[in-house]
Amino acid sequence: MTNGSRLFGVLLSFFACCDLLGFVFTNKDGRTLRCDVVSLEDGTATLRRLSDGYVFQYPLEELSIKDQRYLTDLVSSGGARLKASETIFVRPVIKNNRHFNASHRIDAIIERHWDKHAINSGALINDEVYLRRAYLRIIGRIPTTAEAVNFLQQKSPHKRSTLVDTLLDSTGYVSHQFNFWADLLRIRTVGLEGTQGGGIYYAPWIKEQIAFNTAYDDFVRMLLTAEGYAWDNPAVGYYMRDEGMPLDSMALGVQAFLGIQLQCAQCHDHPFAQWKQRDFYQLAAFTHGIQTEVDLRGSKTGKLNTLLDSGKKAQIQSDLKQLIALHERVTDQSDVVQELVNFGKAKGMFMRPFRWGVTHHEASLKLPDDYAYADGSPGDVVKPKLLFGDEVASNLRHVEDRIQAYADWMTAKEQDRFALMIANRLWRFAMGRGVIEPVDAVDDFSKADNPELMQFLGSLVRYLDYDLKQFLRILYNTQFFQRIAVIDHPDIEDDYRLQGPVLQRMTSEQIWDSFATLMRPDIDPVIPVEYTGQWVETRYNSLRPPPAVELFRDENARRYLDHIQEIAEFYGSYYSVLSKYRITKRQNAKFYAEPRFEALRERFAQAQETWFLLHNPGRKYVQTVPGAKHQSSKRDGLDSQARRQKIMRTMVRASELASPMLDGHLLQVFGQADRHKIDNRTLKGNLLQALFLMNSSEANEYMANDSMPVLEAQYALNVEERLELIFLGFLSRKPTATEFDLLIDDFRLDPEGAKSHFIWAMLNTKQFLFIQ
Amino acid sequence: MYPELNQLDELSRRKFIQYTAKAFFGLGMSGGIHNLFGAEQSVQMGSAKSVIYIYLDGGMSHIDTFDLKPDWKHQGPVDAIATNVTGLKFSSYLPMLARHADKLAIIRSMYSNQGAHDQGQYFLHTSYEPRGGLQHPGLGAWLNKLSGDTLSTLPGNIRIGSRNNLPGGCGFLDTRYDPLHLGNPYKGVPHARLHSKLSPEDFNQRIELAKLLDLSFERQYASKALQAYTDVYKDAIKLMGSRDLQAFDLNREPQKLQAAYGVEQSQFSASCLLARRLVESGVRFVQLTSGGWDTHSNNHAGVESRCYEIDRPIAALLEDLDSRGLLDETLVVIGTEFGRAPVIDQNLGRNHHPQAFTCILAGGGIQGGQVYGATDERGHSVVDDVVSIPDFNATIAYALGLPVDQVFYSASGRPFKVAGQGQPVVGLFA
Repeated sequence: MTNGSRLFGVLLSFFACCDLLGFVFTNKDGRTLRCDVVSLEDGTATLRRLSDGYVFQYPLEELSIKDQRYLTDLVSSGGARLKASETIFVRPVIKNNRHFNASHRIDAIIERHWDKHAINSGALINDEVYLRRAYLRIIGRIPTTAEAVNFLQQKSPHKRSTLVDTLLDSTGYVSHQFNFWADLLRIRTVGLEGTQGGGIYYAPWIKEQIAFNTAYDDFVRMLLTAEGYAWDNPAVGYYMRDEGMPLDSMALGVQAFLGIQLQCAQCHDHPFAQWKQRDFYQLAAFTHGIQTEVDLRGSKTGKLNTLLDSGKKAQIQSDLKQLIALHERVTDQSDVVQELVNFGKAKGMFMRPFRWGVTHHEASLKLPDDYAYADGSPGDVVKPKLLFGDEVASNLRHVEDRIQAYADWMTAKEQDRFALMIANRLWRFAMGRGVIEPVDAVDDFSKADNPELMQFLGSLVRYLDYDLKQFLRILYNTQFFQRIAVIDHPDIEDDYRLQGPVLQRMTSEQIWDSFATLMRPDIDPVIPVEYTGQWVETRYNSLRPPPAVELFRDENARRYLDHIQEIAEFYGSYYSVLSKYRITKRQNAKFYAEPRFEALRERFAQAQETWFLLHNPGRKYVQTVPGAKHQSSKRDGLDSQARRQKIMRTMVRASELASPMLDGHLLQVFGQADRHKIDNRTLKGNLLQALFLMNSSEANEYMANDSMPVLEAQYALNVEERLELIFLGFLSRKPTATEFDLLIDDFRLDPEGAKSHFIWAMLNTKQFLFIQ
Repeated sequence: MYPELNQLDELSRRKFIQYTAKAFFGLGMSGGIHNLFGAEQSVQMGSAKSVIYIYLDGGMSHIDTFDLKPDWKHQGPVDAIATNVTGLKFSSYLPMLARHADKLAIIRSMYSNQGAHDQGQYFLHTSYEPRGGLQHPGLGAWLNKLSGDTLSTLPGNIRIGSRNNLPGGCGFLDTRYDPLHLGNPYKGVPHARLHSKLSPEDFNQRIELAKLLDLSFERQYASKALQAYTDVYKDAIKLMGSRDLQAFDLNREPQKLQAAYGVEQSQFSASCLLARRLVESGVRFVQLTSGGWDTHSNNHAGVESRCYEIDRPIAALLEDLDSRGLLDETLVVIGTEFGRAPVIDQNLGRNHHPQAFTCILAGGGIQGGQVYGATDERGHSVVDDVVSIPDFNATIAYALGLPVDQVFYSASGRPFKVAGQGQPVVGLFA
């Protein structure tokens, strides 16, 4: 592989963030070193040692096979074109040891709790268990063989806290945190929410906030006050995903950020909490002016001019003015001539993306038609009132003031709940269970497993100025995080007594990411993912605005109208082919196979492509019509190498795939949240999981032949070490003495057969699936 | 091959059994409804053996479908059409179902106190309000728990389509009663056969080896969650290579019947046909989902397109069950979490409306061709014979012969009933 490698003289410009992209390399002798890649040239890798920044050259062939493959793949997959500005920059966590005082404080509170209730604490876990837990809990995947060897052989007494810092500063942290936020904020990059609802712009923005470690209160404020189009201001994705459902959106926000369940009160007084239907409407009155549809005919949009004040103001304003002018010109006479009708339709289709964005309006909320309580009548205008706190806000009359007041109230420092809620959610993220459960319906914080701990965690979040990464660093540095895992029986209340973190099945993302870790060495994301999607005619791409918007900004109004005219001219012939195609297809069962329909299939395929390109100028057409020769993209003829690369392209972290994955994808089978509801992932076992783990090609072939631990083990010095490396790769531990005695003979007799057996068996253990 | 394992495994196995017995003292270890209830059984057994539950996700607008209000100013463009039952009218969006109205009991007096989706769906599927950390079981889990093992190797509780995290799974019952979720009705059960490169002997050896590797882990963490995986593996191995898997092959049905359901038109149609095949193969509870009923904007167009999706396949399903003589022992349920408001709002949509809505029962001993209950002139409130969600579920349970008054205890000792506080509407039965 190395001899044939061509000259790759391109510098990998990782400099700006090289500390954070480090990768553990293994050489042929099995020694490991954490480095980042500077360049690969003529079979020689230039690497930079992370511990001291020393840059050195190393012959490619001296590296382990899997690292050789990693480096050449990196270059051939275009990785060599990387610029520092294109890679994910992870802002390092502040490494100040005084923060460990807070870790000690937490442990002291918990120890008092144990003393008081005569609870036997769990023992501290060994390095092997710690290693796997730390990787899974902090960056959401198991460690690679090299990472395992690297950590286990270190002698430093501080190696655990060093590992925490390394992991927190890696891109794996961003990936794992994204799943947390995607579940909480219901972020979808697919379907209506993904495209028209801005999800494909919103998801990458969320990752940027995680990577940059934006303070939590600022983050929430950005969401609540967001305005504009998703491609200009992705934070509007927060409102856009609930398009047409402003009341639900408000209630879900209150649940996510304050842990208050208000949904019931939308229709009636809450049956068992204090909230009245009136409370619901009074709170909703603050956000009622937020509208997610842009009325291009201008009746309401006129007000935008005075309301927009973001940096993009001038651009959006002039865009909208021109758009409105265009619309007026057309709608005046559209019903006179067929041509104009077509023009109107073409315009409507092409410019559809402009119709969805967040704008602020003066509007007053009225009590619903069926309001049945004595304190108001249906149709009454509701005066805004917060659930608690600031009374003055009720007198605010303008939409901007109301939205600001709402965001202020939600994120106020004096507001206990805001900090307590995120502290509790992150405690659950790190330890497997909230200090108070359930985390979404908190009536009374004194019901926490330990109220003192709950209060301390809340005040800690505030003290840290909502630096959530530092907060997590403190949690991961507690002794508590290093205690033996505890069983929390889901149906028995008060079963759990804060003895240690909870034994838990991995989330579906952790399982998927761990499989992917076994299949490729460079699993943590390096370049931001490019999301795509299509809604009706419009092809969306997360790296640029929709085509109609791009064209609008590039061209003058005349040329823009000409383009729409082109669509209008093609409109009639497109729909006549389409309807002929559909009718013929419906009437003939073997439509795709029969030669006599070939001409029609052909004509339709071409019409499809033309139609697509008119609506999406400059975009790549990838759809095909079955049974037509006219294919714009080649699907067949992949050689095995290309096929392997194709499979590997889908082997990326769950955070880099569509959110969520659907229809039988492994992520769904293992219980990924649908991201329609808050946090509705499931960790339950089911038949399909077992069948996959037992019978799939992944478990029977790929893992046994091509997985990283297997490639790594080829360089083991002897058969014992090989067995050890395979154990480390899959289970992050060495075999026990009993296991070793039982297995080693098989392994000597039939290395290949035994290897396949062991690997299959390891994948089908419970210790693989559960985080202890 | 690993003798130590067999020995130790017996120990851990026993430990699990003890654990399970302890955790479910309320139910005891034996299945079989007769053992449990014997002579104390106060309610009469229904004739239904299985359920096809069609869930309309999002809240079906009753006013635009089965409870029309032609004189109400917000009725919208829909017409009332005659059905094959004199005097009973359906929406013109449902022409094919109208020809099977004689099989349906239309309950127009449904009532719920939950107006948000999460809570409403939870209530519909479990008869309980979501509260605290405990999860309540759905009817499919109760049915399988209380009826003992089936003769089939297929799971007794299956959901097709939609998402895998709807409420009403196994709740606090064993995970093995959780519905198996199949995202796609055409694909069947993936990986259901032994891998081509593996012999049955090797497979067994690998299973033993996996247990060996887990020995100390299982001992240390003996728990419900781990036990659930043991059960899942047991069921999966039982299913592998079973002839029952043929039930998933829709192509075994005649083209004509496939066309009657409209199998190629939508996943929902295929799910209806699959549901019938599964029920025939011994699956007790099959739930299908039709999505998109949350018509907040453009209600009329939305309801019309939703109705178009379900009209043909449900009609075909009723006809098919009937012609096979399966309708008496198969209860078909059309359920939704709430209705929609009488008033059209500024988005041309209808808001959530739990105060009054419609659900439907057919087969399983239900008297067809009847309307039960009524709403006022706007479809806003129930005026006659209110049926709460728990009552509705109790009626389903009653049709299946499940004991609706019996109290069961969760692991924490809390009392629960199959359909909460619901009482069956006995008058619906023939």
